[in-house]
Amino acid sequence: MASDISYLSLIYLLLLLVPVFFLNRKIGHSFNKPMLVAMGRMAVQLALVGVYLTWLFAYDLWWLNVLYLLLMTGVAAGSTLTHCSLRFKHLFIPVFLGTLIPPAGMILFFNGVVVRLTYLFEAKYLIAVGSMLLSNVMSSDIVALRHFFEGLKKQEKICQYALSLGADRLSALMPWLKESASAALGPILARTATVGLVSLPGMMTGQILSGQSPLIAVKYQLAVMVAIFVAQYISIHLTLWLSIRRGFDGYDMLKPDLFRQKK
Amino acid sequence: MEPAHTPAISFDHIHLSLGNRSLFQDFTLHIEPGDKVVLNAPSGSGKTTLLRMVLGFTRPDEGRIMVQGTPLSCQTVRRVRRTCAYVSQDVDFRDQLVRDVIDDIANYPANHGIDLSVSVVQPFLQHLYLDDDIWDKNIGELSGGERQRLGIAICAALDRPIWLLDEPLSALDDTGAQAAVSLLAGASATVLAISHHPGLMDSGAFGEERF
Repeated sequence: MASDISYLSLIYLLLLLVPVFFLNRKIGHSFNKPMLVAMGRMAVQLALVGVYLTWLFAYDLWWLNVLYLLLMTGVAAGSTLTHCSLRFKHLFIPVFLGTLIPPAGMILFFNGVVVRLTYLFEAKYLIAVGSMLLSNVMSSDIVALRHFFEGLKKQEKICQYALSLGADRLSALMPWLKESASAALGPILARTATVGLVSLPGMMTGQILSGQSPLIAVKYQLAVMVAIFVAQYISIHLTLWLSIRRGFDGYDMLKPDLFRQKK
Repeated sequence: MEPAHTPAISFDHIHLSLGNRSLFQDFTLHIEPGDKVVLNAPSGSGKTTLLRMVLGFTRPDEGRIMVQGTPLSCQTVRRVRRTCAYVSQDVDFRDQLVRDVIDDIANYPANHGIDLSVSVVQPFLQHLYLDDDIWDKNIGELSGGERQRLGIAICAALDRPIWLLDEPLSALDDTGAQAAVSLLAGASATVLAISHHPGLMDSGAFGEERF
């Protein structure tokens, strides 16, 4: 087992922010306020996570665990839309489903086939692996959706010209679909190719720190990396496909109120 | 008065405002099959918007558009688009090889059964004085005039009954414009064009609609 970190040690850690704070002021960066807000949010969120995960793991009820996964998915879908400046009323359901289905399928596969759990909804695995998959899926969906809708908005006339020349909605949108999927998958492939050389992933580091042998940590990491890649790949395509069904009107035009005004 | 037979395109009592600006108020126009019409109106009066309305890219606030007797709606818009060939003002192709542009168009679902092979398209390209090596050029390498002539050639090769042309001659030199005018004037299709080029009216094939 890894040795515990005292609360005092955590406070020492926060002191590391003091030089950053003064350096920001010195060079005129306007990062201090957002940095303090982000650090404060993170501390509160993680503290709350510590409390309710302890509670969740203690009860370990399948429906409660699934409910928690759904809640995390809802937050991820909302965050995706906010980052892409897209309206919830048109795209929340497609993005929610695109964010949920691939990780959910992957978790069940991971728990049932890879780890061979008899209780597939065990909180420890469902929540930990689920949140890892969801956060990765969310990042790639943000890139894909933003690339797709912003690219299309800029080049709407090219899409309309294709429609006038006989394309159906899917054929007309195909170039942007391909470009968006490539834009989202490129960094994932680059990251996957350098795992172990450039970085030790968080899960593996966590396992090693908590006393697991590096070999077991590597096996888990390998399984998780494949699961993340497949979940991201499917989620990107599913989210885009579901979004084009809801983001366009009956005339194959982008819904005019699809985008939120950027502040 | 309502026309006695089915017009190729009908604009019936169209009202449209964009922002605070009223573009059309109770606008009505019927274009008969086979007619060739040049729309004449001051810049910014909504000529391009009128063409876009036929394709469902812009929708009127009120009024009805009918194409070959079919009222334009979200149920019919794809069928209506299949009857129209459009050359937009900037001929908005994606930047790829001309050969790939034409392959893509041939593979669109609405064009299954339409022959867009080299042997069909090439005569139109030649008529419009486009070089044979254009197939292997990127769209980005083409001049505005070459792009317009390519758009007209594809429009002609698609052989649809209605052609909608937005300033199709604006970047053409005299020789290119003459070749394009002879192609458009000789077509059996209904042509609705926006153009300030005198060649179209001088050809004698086109009538003028002012609004």
